Amino acid sequence: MYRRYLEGGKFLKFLESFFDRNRPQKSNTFFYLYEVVQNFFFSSKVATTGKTHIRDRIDVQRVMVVVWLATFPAMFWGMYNMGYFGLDYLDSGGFSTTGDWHNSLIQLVGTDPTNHLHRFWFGMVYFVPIYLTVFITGIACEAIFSTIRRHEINEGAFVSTVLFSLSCPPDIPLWQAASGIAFGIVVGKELFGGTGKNFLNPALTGRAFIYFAYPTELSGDMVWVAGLADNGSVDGYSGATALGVAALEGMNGINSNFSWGQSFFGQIPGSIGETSTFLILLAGAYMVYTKIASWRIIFGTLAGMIVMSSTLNLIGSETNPMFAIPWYWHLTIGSFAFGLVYMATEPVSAANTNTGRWIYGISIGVIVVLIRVINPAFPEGMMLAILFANLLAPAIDFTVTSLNTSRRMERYNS
Amino acid sequence: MKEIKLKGGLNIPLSGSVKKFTAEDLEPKFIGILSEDYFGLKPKFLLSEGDQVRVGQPIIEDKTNQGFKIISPVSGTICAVNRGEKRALISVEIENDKKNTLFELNISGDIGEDLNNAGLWDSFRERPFDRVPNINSKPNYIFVNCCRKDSLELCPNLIISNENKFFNLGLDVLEKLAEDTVFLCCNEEIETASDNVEKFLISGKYPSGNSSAHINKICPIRKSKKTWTISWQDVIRIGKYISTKSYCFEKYVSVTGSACIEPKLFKTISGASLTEITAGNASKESRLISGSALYGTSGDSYTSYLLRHSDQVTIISDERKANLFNWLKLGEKDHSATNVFFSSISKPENYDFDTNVNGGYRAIVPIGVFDEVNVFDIDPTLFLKSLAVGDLVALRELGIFDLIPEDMSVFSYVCPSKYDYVALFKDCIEDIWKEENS
Repeated sequence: MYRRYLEGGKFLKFLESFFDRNRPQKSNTFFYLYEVVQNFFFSSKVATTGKTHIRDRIDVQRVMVVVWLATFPAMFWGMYNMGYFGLDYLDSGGFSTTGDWHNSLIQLVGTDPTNHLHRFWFGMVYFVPIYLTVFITGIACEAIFSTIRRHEINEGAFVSTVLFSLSCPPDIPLWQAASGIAFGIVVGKELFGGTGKNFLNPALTGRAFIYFAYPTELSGDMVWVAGLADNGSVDGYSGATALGVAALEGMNGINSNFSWGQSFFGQIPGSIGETSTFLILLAGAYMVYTKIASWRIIFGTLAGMIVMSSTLNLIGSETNPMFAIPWYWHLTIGSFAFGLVYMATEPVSAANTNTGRWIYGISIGVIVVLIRVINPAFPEGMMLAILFANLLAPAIDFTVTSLNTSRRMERYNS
Repeated sequence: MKEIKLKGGLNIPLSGSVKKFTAEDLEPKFIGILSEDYFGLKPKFLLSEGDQVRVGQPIIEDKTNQGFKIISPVSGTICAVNRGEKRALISVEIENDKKNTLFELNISGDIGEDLNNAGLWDSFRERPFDRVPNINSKPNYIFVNCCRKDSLELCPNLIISNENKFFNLGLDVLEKLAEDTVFLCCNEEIETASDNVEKFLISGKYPSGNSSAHINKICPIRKSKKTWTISWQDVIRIGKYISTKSYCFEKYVSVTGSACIEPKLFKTISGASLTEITAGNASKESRLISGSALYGTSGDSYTSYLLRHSDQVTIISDERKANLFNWLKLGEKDHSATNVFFSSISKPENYDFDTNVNGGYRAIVPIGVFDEVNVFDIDPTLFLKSLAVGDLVALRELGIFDLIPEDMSVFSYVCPSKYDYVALFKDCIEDIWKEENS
């Protein structure tokens, strides 16, 4: 019905023939730019050649759209949650302004800390500029690089940009977000040939870059609630994340600040997209159902995390309170769930064999607990754990296939 | 009788299958001999364009396989010898005068020589290059493939049970030829006279009908042992040749596909012209394929003939549409190995299939579908990546010798990045052939 309506339109016919008439040669510098814009509006009409005459209807564009859609629950909850904590903070400190340019936009709707709409608007005013900045910078980097290097522009950049935006803390300065995604797209991906040839997750590469480049603005207790950094702390108000609290005070600290239900459903401060484990797991179920995300990686990571954290629970420590955190808290605090569903499952930088995917997942689960509990410097381990596992993935694949290849060569030469 | 259940694979819900065994006879006016049927062929012409031929008269000898002859299945005139780049042979076209004048058939008593004279030696394919074996060589193992390769073709058992006498005569010849064992792979029980044939019941999704999958499971390829394959049609032909002592070129062909008006079975001659087989049976704007929609050749005017090993002709729609905002569509009738479309929930009776690539060419994004549809003993993602970069050393280790081009078609089908792994495989195996024979 909707399709007939759209296809009947004269303007669309004009647009379609416009694209057909102006299709450049493949040797043209702007061929790939043209192709991605055309594919945004109309699917290609290219016919199959060779021996296989029919093809699956899925394409890389669709793969990326599925992941993009799957980020929506976390994105909308993130905006609402940002407003919840931001307005709550303003109210408890008695401030009437967030202290920066966001304020005039926020005042358009209001700052009532109990109003759902006000909370959502507050979050939008913070999130949308971050996403727009990251999106434009990321796509521009991809387009410029691909045009110069003459390879196709990949829709993977859409996913990298939205995931990067969601992994940022609410109060991140926009120029830092821009430099992060630029680093992620160019160094994490394009230098190696673009999506499909990267060995690191581009969004995480960018996130790690800003984490280490601007540590004062991107860690500590001040950045997790929008507006906190500008106005300064208020007595009796802590902006610390559950993970931050856990690192200092252990389970006692967590229990006096949050309930498990709160942290599972997402009523905790944190990076924009990471707060609601529940919604993230729902999105994960969708991605596993569509077969875009590998269930082997997800369950491997969960298994590795549960085994490692339970082991550390048993060992115990008198000086390090993190040893006592049980696995179900590890799951809900920090960016574990976010990384598990959206980042670890990135297919290109993960292992490429089924057995390898299990090992890859388990190693992420083990490393994340090790970094969180034993490493004294960083409370957050998911980002680094996935990047380490990305580096391990080729070695994992090599080991797994060498079992297959050595068996074959032995048989073949016998 | 042992049972083998192959894991993996993919059911592709195409429509337009042949279900009944009622064969229509068809004697084609034009016949084609296609060079793509003969891997590594270096032709030496015994006849040239314009010459008269008789049934069974040799036309081409292969310089790389001393003594091997390609013979004419009909009598008439050689109307064209088509050549392509660097004068490589593409096809030989013969006009049938329908007089059936015979070339003298020598019967010496030596199996290999007799089959070669009768034009049946090319029934055999030798692994790993899927090439016609050398004259005078003897195989250790012969794999007889009686499986339904594609879901649309008529189940071979229906034809085999009807021609059971000839099929068993053919199997006797194979038993004499094979030094070790003859393996028979089928989807349903087949009656055989001899007890020496080892029978296997194969079940599984596409492409579990391919011989590579059977060989992997039953008796994997070794360098020291020769493994040959043959299809059920050729076994029947050999049987008919033995019993009548005369040439036999008949071939059963299922005409199938979603754009086929009435799917049916034909009894024709190998190399028959596709346009004649499908005359009046194809809808407008459709593509004629010798073979299945997943692995077949759609010829241009020079090569639009039945391939040596096709048991099937498929007709599919060639009408392609551009969809607005394709990335948002629900996809009620779109088939995919993944579950990204609404069709994974609604499960419609008929899916839309056409010759659209359905997307842009991208670098390989291994979301895991390759592992899911794989029925072979390989690590598919690494194998396909090595194909894409042409890494011949890695390919040897990853198992290129266990496979032939047709096995790649399922991977081409599911690939979201729209690679053509069949073509890549051909390039790589040809390079390996050149390396090993120079």
